[in-house]
Amino acid sequence: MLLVNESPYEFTKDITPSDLAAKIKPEADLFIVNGFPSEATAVLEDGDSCWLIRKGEKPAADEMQRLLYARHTPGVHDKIKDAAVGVMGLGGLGSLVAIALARIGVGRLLLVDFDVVEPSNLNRQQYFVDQVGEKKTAALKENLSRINPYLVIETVDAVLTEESIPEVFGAVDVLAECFDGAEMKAAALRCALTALKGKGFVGASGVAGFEDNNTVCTRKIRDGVYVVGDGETAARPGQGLMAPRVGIAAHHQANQILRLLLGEA
Amino acid sequence: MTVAEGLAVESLLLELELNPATVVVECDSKIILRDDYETTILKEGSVVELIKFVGGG
Repeated sequence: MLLVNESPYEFTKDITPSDLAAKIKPEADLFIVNGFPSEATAVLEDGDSCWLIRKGEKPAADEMQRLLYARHTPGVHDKIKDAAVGVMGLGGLGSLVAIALARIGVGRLLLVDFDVVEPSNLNRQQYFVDQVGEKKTAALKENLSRINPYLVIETVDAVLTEESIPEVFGAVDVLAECFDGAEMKAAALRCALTALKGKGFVGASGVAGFEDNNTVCTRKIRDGVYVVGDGETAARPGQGLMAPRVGIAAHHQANQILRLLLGEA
Repeated sequence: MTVAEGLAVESLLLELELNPATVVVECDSKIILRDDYETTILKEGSVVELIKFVGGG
């Protein structure tokens, strides 16, 4: 048996990517066999995996699903494809948390921020030079759609407050607190422990500078409620926010969110 | 720790040199809302948990 674009296909002797393309995808102009680019005329062996690709073409929805099924540990995709995660703040943490979740196919994302992309954001936030001046909500939605066009992405362009958080995020499964300011970080956790009690929550505190990697940790506050970071290194003059360490923390957050969605935490 | 009788949560945080707006406070298993920091008075034997935040993200 062969695996062609992640679907089973009957093996026959001397079959080539070119033969498969003729039957399945005549327009294919790139052939990946067992993870490596291959000649169209290479002879395939039983058990090989072959991707037939047309360069620049967007994979169909079912192809994208099969790709994610194949790449993830069995059982993961079914648990995350309809899950909803709310991201509060789309800066260095939030933009990267959203990208990690989009890449693994978390099906529904609610992205909230009031700000626009500024040049000073580009040292750590997941935007591009040509997006400077755009609303972060619109810019991030555009970038996520380029990663996976089949996600359901909602955006709210607004300043969040302790009063509005429960209303805006009432329908999500897990909350990612990715605010910049310490006051809103505290406000979000209070919401998670009161009005939004029972939802998963992963916040962050202490992600600035270039301190030791391993001082960033994921601390359990309550069942289902976590805060990532070293708890100490605030952003301040002389201790800036930079892509590497903010990225470590954001991926702690994203992995903890995944663990919550999978029932592992 | 020992504190003055009748101390409010707000005053405790200021005594600890914390910015009250950046701290989540649980007192005797109850989360204290931000508006109640000044009116919530600590009692003998109160168990207080503080979770403080620093900025940056």
